[in-house]
Amino acid sequence: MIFNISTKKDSLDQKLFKGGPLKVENNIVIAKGRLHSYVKYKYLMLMLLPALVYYIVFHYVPIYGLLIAFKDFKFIEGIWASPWVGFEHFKDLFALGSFWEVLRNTIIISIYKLIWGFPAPIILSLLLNEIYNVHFKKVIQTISYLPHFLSWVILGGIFLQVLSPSTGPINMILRYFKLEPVFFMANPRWFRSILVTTGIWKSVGWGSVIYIASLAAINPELYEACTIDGANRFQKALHVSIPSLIPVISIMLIFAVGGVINDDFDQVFNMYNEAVYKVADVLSTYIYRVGLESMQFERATAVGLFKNVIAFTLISVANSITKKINEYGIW
Amino acid sequence: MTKNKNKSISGLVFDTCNMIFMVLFSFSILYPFLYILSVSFTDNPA
Repeated sequence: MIFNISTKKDSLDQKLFKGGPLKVENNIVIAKGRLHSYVKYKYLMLMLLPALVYYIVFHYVPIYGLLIAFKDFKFIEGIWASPWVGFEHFKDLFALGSFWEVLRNTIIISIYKLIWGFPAPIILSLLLNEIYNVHFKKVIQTISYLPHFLSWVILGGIFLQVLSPSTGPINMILRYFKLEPVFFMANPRWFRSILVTTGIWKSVGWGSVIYIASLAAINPELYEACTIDGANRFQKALHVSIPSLIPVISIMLIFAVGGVINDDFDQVFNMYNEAVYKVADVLSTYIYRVGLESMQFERATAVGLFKNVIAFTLISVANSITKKINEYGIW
Repeated sequence: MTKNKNKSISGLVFDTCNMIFMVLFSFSILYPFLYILSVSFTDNPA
């Protein structure tokens, strides 16, 4: 980018050109900064364009619809022309006992998933890293990725069969040991555990990919230096592998904490039933039932906005804490 | 991780346990699919 030095040199704010210093040639200031790099990497920028368009169309434009939460929405009048009601829908929502029950379920299920589900891929990747037989390792990795590629619609049906009280193999084992069969999918005592276990079962393999990639990027000289120092395999994992994973773990933890309020709609919707509503109904399924089935769009939007505000707060807090502890954050 | 040719007894025990765990883990991943496949070929009362 070129500016005439005689008119703009003094007013140029170098902060605008964080990417590099200003260069002066024949009384002309050439900013070799961010704009310069945009031009230099124009083809990469072009490749970024579809993702950018996707986010604008499907994530930023729909933000306009949040207005419904503050309006007495009428189909005929449209979003903008509908009368404003302020925080009326939020007041109604917070006065509902069912909303707090749903919020409680969402947080409990997400915290269970965070506690059990977050370390699972890290442990799997560390154990896979210890396997020397490359073919065996590849087979295990491929098998572990398999459930990720199937939707919860299919997996919900499969688990309904596997956990069936009459024909399911789990209950067959229980009967073999003279124990009472359990209808896991309709038992409020078991349902959250089923959600957490099946969630880990589906995501553990795919979740370990990022950690396996980080472990593969570790300089082998570090392990060799450890061997010379007399470290055993456990010590190598403790002092080389795990510290090398810390930046990735920090970022994944920030995302996981931010997602505490964002439950897995597909999983819950395809596995729950009326018998377990009290322990399984989460915010997204509540929004679906209230918003789409009962046509209360204002209330459903209010729940959605509330959820997003909480998620944003959580992600900001998690990012600040992680940055203070180990200097790694997402912004 | 670089291959350590001089394996200790504890290393061999760990490798064996790790291998057994991985086989069981793979089986637990595949079992629901195999079960559904098997019942789809038989007269499934469910």
